[in-house]
Amino acid sequence: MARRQSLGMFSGRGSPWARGFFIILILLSVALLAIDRARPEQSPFNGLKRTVADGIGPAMTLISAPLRALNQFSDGLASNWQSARRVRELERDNRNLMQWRDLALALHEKLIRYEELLGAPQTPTPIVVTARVITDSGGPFVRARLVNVGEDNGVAEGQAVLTHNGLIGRVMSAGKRTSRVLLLTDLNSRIPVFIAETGAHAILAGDNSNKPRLIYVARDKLPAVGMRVMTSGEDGVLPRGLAVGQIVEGSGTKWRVSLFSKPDKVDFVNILKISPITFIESDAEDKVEDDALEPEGVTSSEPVTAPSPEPETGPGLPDTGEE
Amino acid sequence: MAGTGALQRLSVVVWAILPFFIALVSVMLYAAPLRIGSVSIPMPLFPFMVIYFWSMTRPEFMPWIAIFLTGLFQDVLTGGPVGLWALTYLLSTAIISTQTEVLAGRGRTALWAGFVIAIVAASFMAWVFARIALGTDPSFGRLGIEILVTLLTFPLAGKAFALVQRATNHARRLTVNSTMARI
Repeated sequence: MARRQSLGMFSGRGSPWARGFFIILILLSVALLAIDRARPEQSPFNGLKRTVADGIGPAMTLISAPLRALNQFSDGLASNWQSARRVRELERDNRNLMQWRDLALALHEKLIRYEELLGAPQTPTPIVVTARVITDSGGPFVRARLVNVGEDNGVAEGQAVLTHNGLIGRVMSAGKRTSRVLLLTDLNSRIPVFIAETGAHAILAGDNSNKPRLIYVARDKLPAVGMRVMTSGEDGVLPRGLAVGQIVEGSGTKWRVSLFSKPDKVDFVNILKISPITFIESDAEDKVEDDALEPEGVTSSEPVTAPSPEPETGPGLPDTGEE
Repeated sequence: MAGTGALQRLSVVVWAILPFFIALVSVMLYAAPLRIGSVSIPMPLFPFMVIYFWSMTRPEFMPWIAIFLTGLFQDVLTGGPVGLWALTYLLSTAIISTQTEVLAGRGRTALWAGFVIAIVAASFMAWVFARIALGTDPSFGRLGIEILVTLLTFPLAGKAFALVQRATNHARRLTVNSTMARI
């Protein structure tokens, strides 16, 4: 009899056992929520999330396949609908870009010559991993995506995630075969940026809206609508100079940033495999001084980055990001 | 003969856990990316549809533990605060359960009308819990669109669930009849 009652709390709802079990589950949910939010970055459930994402990754790829086909079909329709206008726009953009390309090549050559003259260490070309997005943000309170590459592909926490238009987020956690990308629009996203035109530093803070806020802006260098925002690299995680977006006016005195890379349209992303900057500890200062004498040495204020052989791609994916 | 009995018992168990399995798959479907043109469409809250449907029609197939695990799976898969949807689903189902007798036997319109109240209540609850957990006001915009998409999808999803339930009932009847015949 007792056994039947104890089973009843799992299967039924009306019995006292089930009601007691319901209260236990409510308390358990509250406890889980409290533990998870006490220290979100070091939540004890992050490991579980990684494991579940790794396990469920192939199934998610399978489930999202018909939806991807629908996305592509709608893209095709939209593209055909406005094809003549799009061709004219692209031709005009192409003419402009050719001029910019020539200028960029000339400046690049000049930069290399200056770096040689100064003996500056070469900035390594980052290794890029292309990944497919396999889950959407999954609800109104989270702006994150799961992608189908992980530690096995060299992805690590903190790495920058881009589309061909610019930065979209950073790797929040990396499992073996999948990684979770925290979008710039997420409530928990805070990245240091600077305004290209004024050089003013600020923090780009997500608030689950499509246009994140710009906070802690220097008062003597107030931004203006249309100015470009780029990563400053001051967090020691994201590299400097990644394009983020353009300033738009928010409500009140708040400045907001219209992102170059719209998270809604992303099917593929590029992950920059640059190791986060590691600052040399104070007890190793003597060694730093010795190293600084060497021409190719790295000082305490410079990033230690991985060597850069060739771009890589994720499993069975194209070489470039695509929206 | 003993083998046949074990197979039939297994069949009963399989049909009993089918709603829970559908709830888990619906969480995965909910997390899948959907976009039409350049507009990202929020997925309907499929897991809540499954929980609501079976809570109203056959609550014995949607026990508290199944609701809790569905919510927990959603939290873990989407990377949100762990426990948020588990708590929301448990509390909103508890409220729904008090109205089962009122809505029972009144047809599909009553089921849908009940769902309108249930989804709004569940979303509001989730918003409040998210506000407490995240320490800031989450945007109402996407939540509103999600509620709307869920409401529009429910009649179709409800029909699909009803088909599954009919098949389940049929299979269970067959199993019971066959067991009775053996006795």
